[in-house]
Amino acid sequence: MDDTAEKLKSDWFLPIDPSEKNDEFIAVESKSFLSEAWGRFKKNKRAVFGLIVVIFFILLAVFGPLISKFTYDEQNADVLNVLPNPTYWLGTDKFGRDIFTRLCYGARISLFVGFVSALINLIIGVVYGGISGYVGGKTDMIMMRTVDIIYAVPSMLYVILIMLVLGANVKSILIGICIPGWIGMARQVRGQIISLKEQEFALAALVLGASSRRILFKHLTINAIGPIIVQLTFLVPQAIFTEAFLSFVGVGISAPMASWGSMAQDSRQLITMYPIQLLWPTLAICLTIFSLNFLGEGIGDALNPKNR
Amino acid sequence: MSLLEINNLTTQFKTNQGTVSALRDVSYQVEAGEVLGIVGESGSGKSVGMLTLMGLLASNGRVTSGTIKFDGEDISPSNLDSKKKRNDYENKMRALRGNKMSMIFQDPMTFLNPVLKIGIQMTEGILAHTKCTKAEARKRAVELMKQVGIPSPKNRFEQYPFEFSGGMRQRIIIAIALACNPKLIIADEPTTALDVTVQAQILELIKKITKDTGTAVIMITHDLGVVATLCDRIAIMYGGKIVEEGTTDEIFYKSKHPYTEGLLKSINNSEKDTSEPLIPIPGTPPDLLNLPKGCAFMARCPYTMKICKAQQPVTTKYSKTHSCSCWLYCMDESYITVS
Repeated sequence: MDDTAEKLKSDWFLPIDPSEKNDEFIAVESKSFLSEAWGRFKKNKRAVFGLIVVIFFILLAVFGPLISKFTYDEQNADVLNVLPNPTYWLGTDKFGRDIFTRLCYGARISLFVGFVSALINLIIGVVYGGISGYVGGKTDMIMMRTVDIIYAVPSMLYVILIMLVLGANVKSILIGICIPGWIGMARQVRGQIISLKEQEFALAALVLGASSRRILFKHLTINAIGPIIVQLTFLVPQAIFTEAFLSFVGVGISAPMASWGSMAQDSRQLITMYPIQLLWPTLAICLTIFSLNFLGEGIGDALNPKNR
Repeated sequence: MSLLEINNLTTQFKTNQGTVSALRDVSYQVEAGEVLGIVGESGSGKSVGMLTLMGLLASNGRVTSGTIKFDGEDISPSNLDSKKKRNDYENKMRALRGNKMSMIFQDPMTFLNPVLKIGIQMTEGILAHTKCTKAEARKRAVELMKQVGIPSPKNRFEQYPFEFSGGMRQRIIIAIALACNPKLIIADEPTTALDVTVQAQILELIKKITKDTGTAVIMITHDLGVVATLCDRIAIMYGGKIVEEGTTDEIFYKSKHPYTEGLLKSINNSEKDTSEPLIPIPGTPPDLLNLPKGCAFMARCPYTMKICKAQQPVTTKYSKTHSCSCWLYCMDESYITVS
């Protein structure tokens, strides 16, 4: 008996102070959504490869012309069609222009067109689709039928018509790509918003006295951010390809400005003698578009919370 | 003057099958600082009543008659025939919602935006209604989280809803509702989606808050146990009408309406002899699309009389607070208008 009493006196059996119980503490340190997404992205080898290549081309576009000794339109009759060597890293073309320098300028145009048109399409598409989906009813009907009409005209027609009016330059290529380009985004966002606006947190925000604009752009659009980003990453390579195609068929960037498409067109005539001249711009186009697609896919997977 | 006065409110929905009368001639008052419980089955018009009050009816809903007065201001949603009137009403309501009048929702899992930080959602109402900086709103939000008993609120402020448990989310929703010191909180079945143990905590919290802040609460529920612990007065709804209204004691001990009686018989009472079976109310609630001409409860009532089928019952008053609409208590031929 005495033994048990003795044991009970041991302080392991004393009642604990309620303040020491400390329930509901934060057990796991929370990671932000983006850092989790980055963790998932890093594991995707193709996506990382894509990211590296895209960064390489961006650096090339920004710094390439600075480190090269030549300009894109400098012609030199002494060095026509030379093969790659220490002076001319990628060789020269039929006018004796340095291909490396021209490739860098081409990267500038391609990436500029790709990213800027994607940005414009993003803004127009999200705002248009968001309003259409959120307001609904007749407004939605009119807005979406307008979209259908724009979509019904082949997009190449817009580009060529605008080229005729505004001349062949980067600005008109941008406008030409953007006129039909935002439609996919608008449709995607509209669909997302229609399903999201029925969610109860939208009602909750309304009950808090939030304005429609705030509910749409703060509460709902952010919920659709995954599909929006994925759509965005596919808009970039699409725009780059369109620009290259236009320049290749001769309605894009005009000479002597260099674009990957126009470089491919120039070297096409010499394909039997100097196939390497065609290799460089095609390689650049392929690598960029592949990498951007890998990157987009990787971002989409990383942002999908179901892959946790 | 009461904080909230609702008179003869009628709400209808136009559907493909016809017109649904979700609220029929509903009148009640809420005094400042009091807790009113509204009890009824699913489809009895509890939630529609609150949505009408908040001005959040679906587009096919229309308030055909009635007035609502809140805090001395007329916010009747009827007669909104011109666009200007509708806009005025909408602006007036937006200034009220979340400010003087806020709402606690049923399911904390779905009423928080999953991709916005808790802090952003908490400061939403504060920033919308008061002129204050983000830092001040943040301070207030942290204060509120402390008030509803969330530990380490500063860290919690930066977290997302999925990092919270169900009970904590409901506490966050309560905190959001309290953010602007509202005069009236509408709690739409705040405990139905929670575990029983958490339910008790949440009810305790609501009780404490009404005591501390003097906020009036309208508690919508189908759980008589909840109203018994919390409410000062109770209104029983059936088929879009308030059939009985009284203080909690009057409803529980002196109930008059056969429906109230049925509800009380069908709750589990641990103090009673456990071998006594629960008596459910037979039948199903009426179809609001084609309500009977007489009393809506007629088909399920054990005492149905001839008049119940022909004419709506008259409201009888028993005390200042207690009233009931049933023919059983006013068997006087002078009330009968049909032949």
